Amino acid sequence: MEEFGQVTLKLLGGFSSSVFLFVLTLLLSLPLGLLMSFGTMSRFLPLRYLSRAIVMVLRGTPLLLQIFVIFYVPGLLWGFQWPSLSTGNAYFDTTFSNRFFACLAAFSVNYAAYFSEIFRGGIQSIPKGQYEAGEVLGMSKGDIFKKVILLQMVKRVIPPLGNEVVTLVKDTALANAIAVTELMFQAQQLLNAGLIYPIFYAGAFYFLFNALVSFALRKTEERLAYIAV
Amino acid sequence: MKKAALTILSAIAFLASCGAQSGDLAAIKQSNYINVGITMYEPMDYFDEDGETVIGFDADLTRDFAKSLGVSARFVPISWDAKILELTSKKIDLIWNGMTITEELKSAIDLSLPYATNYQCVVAKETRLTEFSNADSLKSMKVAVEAGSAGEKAVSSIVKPNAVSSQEAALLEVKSGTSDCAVIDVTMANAIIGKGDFTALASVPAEKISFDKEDFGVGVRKNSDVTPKLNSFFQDKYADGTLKKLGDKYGVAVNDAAFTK
Repeated sequence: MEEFGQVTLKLLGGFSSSVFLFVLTLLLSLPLGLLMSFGTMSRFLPLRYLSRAIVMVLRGTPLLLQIFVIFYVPGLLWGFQWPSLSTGNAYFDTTFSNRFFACLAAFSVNYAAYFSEIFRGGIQSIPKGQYEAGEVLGMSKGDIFKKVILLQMVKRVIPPLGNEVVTLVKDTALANAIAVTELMFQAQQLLNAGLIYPIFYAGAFYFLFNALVSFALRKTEERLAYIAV
Repeated sequence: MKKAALTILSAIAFLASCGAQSGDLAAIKQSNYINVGITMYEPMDYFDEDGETVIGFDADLTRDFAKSLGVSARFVPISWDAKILELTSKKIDLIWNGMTITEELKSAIDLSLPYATNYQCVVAKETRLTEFSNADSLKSMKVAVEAGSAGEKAVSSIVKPNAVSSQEAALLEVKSGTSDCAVIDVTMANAIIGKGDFTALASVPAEKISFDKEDFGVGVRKNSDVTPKLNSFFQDKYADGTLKKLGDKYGVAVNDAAFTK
């Protein structure tokens, strides 16, 4: 039977997949979310309604279902297969495999939808007077956004954003549904081999990682805590 | 929710699978790999002591079959709930993992010869074995089964079971006391009971509670040209005694009836 050290190593292997998924999802979904928020605030009505519809679908259906749709439906309908960067016969490490990329795509668009609403809230919370002041000073629209609005928006959205980020850490466990070999998957493999405690031990990994994430969020908030506007 | 999602997708899968899959063999040979969907499940597919090589009754046969096609076997871990989707969306080429043949499976995919037999057994805490005298004793009990498994089907006519995500999860229910017993494959029960944390569990003797015999089969896409190859492979392996030898080694009952008629 596996010893504690081996169990820890196995879980760490799965956890690395979870962390990759987490980091890459954030990198993709934050900019995508900002773009979506521009879409939902656009003065060009077709774009605005289309963006709103997309956000509505992404927020209105389960992430689990979106993972299934993105992974299986292209293969079912058009014979399209997701590319894989994992090589040869490396079963039981699906980091960067077709499964992983399908999950990454699903997580990214799903979280972008939530982020876009947070960004929209942040941008629209800036008083109109600041835009008018910018115009009076002769600044261009782009400059007003970049130099006046954006930083204040960033500062305001950190707490709600943090909420989603912490949820994302735990949501990576959903990748288990299409057999991405992430942390929960590995814990279940150990259960199949007759060990019960790794399932609960895995919880400690999520918790410690989230403690780290929370700490980083708090630090960021403090850094940005210049005089309140 | 997961159930509903799987049902909808399975419907799409069924529609998509109606076309012929004659190009399977060519595609496999071209890629040099045959992708075989498995879950880690002793004695069919499980890790050797090195923690890397997949061995077992089915795993050993899978490698032999791949060799007979001139390709390598690639074992792909899948979520058992999604096995039909995995197959019809071509993520895998075969489901070869001690799969019990059911009517539902037959309507969705093609199956190989029923190469081995299996039956379901009741597992409970050792100290409570005396409470199980016949099938009727299950009526007042909380029974855990794997969702979509043969065990769920077998016990449903007696009592409404509690369907969980895997056979191991069903054993976990028994171990933690949230269920009184679990109904799982006898091959699996023999392999896992008494190991690791699954000590102090025991299976109820078949004389007291037994269910109908079942067959294990390999799942293949509908109308695939792999199926005839697979069946003649099984026949060869039966004829030269390999099946019997592996059966003895791993404690699996080869289905003589499928080969002798």
